Amino acid sequence: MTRGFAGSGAALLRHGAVVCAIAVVMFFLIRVIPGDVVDVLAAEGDLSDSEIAALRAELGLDRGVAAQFVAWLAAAARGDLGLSIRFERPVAEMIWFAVPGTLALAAKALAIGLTLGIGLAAAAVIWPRRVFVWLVNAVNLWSIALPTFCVGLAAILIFSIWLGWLPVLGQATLPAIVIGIDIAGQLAKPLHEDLKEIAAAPFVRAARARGQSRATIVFRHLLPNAAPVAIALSGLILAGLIGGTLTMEVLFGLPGLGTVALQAILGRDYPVVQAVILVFALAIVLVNALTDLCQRALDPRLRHD
Amino acid sequence: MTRPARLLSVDSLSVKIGARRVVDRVALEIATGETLGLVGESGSGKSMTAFALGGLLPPVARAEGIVHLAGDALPADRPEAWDPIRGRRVGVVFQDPYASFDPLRTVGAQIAMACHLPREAARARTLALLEECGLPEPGAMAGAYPHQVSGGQLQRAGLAAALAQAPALLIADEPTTALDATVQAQIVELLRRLQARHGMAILFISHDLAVVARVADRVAVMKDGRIVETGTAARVLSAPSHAYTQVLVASRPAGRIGAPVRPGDTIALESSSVGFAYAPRRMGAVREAALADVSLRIRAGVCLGLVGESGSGKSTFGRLAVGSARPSSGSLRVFGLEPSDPASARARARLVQMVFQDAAGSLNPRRMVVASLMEPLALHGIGTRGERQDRAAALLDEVGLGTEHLRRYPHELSGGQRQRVAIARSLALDPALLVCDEPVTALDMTIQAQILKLLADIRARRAMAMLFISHDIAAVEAMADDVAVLHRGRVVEYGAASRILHAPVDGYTRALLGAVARLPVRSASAVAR
Repeated sequence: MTRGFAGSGAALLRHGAVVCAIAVVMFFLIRVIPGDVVDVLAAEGDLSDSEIAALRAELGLDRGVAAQFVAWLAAAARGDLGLSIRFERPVAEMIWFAVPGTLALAAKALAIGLTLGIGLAAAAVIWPRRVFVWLVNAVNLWSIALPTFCVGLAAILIFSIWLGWLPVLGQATLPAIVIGIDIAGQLAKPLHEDLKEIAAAPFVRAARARGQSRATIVFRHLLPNAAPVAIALSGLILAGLIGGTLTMEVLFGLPGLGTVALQAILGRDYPVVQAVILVFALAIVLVNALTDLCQRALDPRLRHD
Repeated sequence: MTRPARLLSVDSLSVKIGARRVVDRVALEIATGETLGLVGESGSGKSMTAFALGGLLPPVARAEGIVHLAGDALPADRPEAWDPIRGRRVGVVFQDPYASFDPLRTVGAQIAMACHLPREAARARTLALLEECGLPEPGAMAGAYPHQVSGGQLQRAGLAAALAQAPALLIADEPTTALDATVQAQIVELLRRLQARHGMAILFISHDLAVVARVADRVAVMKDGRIVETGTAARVLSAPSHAYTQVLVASRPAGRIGAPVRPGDTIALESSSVGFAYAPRRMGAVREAALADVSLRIRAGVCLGLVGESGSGKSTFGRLAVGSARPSSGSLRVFGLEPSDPASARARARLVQMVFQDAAGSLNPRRMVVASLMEPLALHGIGTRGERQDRAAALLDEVGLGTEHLRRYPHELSGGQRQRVAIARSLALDPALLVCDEPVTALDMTIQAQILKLLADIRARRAMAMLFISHDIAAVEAMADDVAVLHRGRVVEYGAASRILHAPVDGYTRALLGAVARLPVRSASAVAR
């Protein structure tokens, strides 16, 4: 037990280090983009040189990058993510309001993707009819060949403009379906391959020899043994999903982290960009940790005993 | 003597995979309570025959024939006809116990599933079955996951699962092949006991004639999908009539091959109090000793047989001898050199070479034979390209292959030919000590005999010292001048082969030798008949 605790402590340290590294890299990267927030404001509203200098001093942008970083880190450690330069609102509050929208979209998309992906892969193994195998390949090709923003645009054109079933902006159904199909495509093909391999394993023949029915073999042997692969893939897909929701939110005009991030980057709103990236980094690390935990819970061979 | 009732019979069973007929019009009969041994080498079709009789053929296989099982006629080509048969009337035990259990479920859960009973009743039956199969703590076994128990124990559990619904026929497909000799003997004993109690018929499939001789009442010999000979076990194994069976029986190594070589004065390998422990997998875990206090000596020209069961540390010692690992304690010298010393690596390579169990795995699949044979020469800057090519051809000739094999890839060769190539490569630098780690274990019986003969010839011709590592007592007996028996990393007995193999002193050595299945000695009258 103590060993397990020490193990999770080490994992926690590792995850923390990853988040810190991302925070450092993104802090400096965003400052490499030419022009800061003052340049953007100056371009919008005709500011004098002295006004620009005063604004820079006020925002602390006249200091060296390293000094800025230390100040930001000190504040972030206290839980203070600062004020948005553009909106003059606390960054934490902006994030807090944006998270539910993104989370809801991601959850819907994931639900659709997992159901469709696992369902198709399982169907292709259970019924050796060509149609399911064909569908697995088709949906896989779809997600490789068609980027979500293209499919999203086409979906708006067909379902919102031509058919008029859904409004163009502000609905989360179409984007969830678009991302969901994309996820299904990434999941179904490798999962199908894995299931085929498991179906040929000697222990499946042994289960048949013991008189197990087809259904028992599929649901109690095949699918549980494919779970590790499904979970590992889902972890990767979830990480990719964060980028996927970003474009969909912007395309469909949904409130969420993606919209916040886009506005912040265009406006060089450093505190907001930093905070959004930090949230994404935390989310990805969390997903990785959860994937690890699930794997361990599912496979007795990975448990320490 | 009245023959008991016929339980299973098939007149003409065929199985095709693609255009290939892997089982060719096989006729078989098994009586109630009888054990039929089905013997053959790899690819002879014996496993496919078993799968067809258990309704377990893979989807790519096409079967023909009607199987009669206690009054029912079952078409071999209709898997659904076997649905009420599988598990209920025909049980199957497989070769690899670890591969025949789902790794994610406990052993008990899987046996309980095989019982096809309500939950509580299934649980009670599971415990009873485990106990009947000789597992002293059925409760602990039921709660364990497959990877947590030993191969022998898991094979007992596999037997329990096969017997869950008290089938009238038990198909045992190489049930002891993956196990150590002492464990093999126990499983065979258990099978006999269960058969005596339940009166089921057993189809016992094996490549190992000696094991079959122990269990079978009658024997059927398969070759290339056909049954070439059937008869009582005593008759087939002592006086085989078919030419192939005669070869099979004769290939069982019996006694030493060739005369002993006069030992040289130099010492090829000397280990004194060698210990080795693998680095612990987790911090703070205890380092488990793989070897402890091993002191052995091989004189030039002498073959030392290193015997032990899996996990005894014999392969670890082989790794130390070729320098791919360094002893944790004690010292090991090969012709005065320390093999793991990087400074002497080149000199070491020219003195000691190794032959592995898995020839396919030890040859680069993307390199032609000639390239594999020239590589060690090129690495040591020996000869010009043309000379190396000539040398490669000469090496192949030495191991009994022709120049036509030079331009082949490993997958184009048979298992025996691949091992010959691996041996040829190990000889390229003219080593004075050859370490052979289970060199014939993965091969068929007839091929084993050929490879052992080859190794013995090469050793005699080159007056080469050899460390021959094997779990197979018969193979060691064929090769070794001296024998060391390893048990849990320690040498329990060490001395002249003739003494140890015929008059062992140590208790473990006796148990090990006692567990080895041997063919009954052929009597002159039986051969004459």
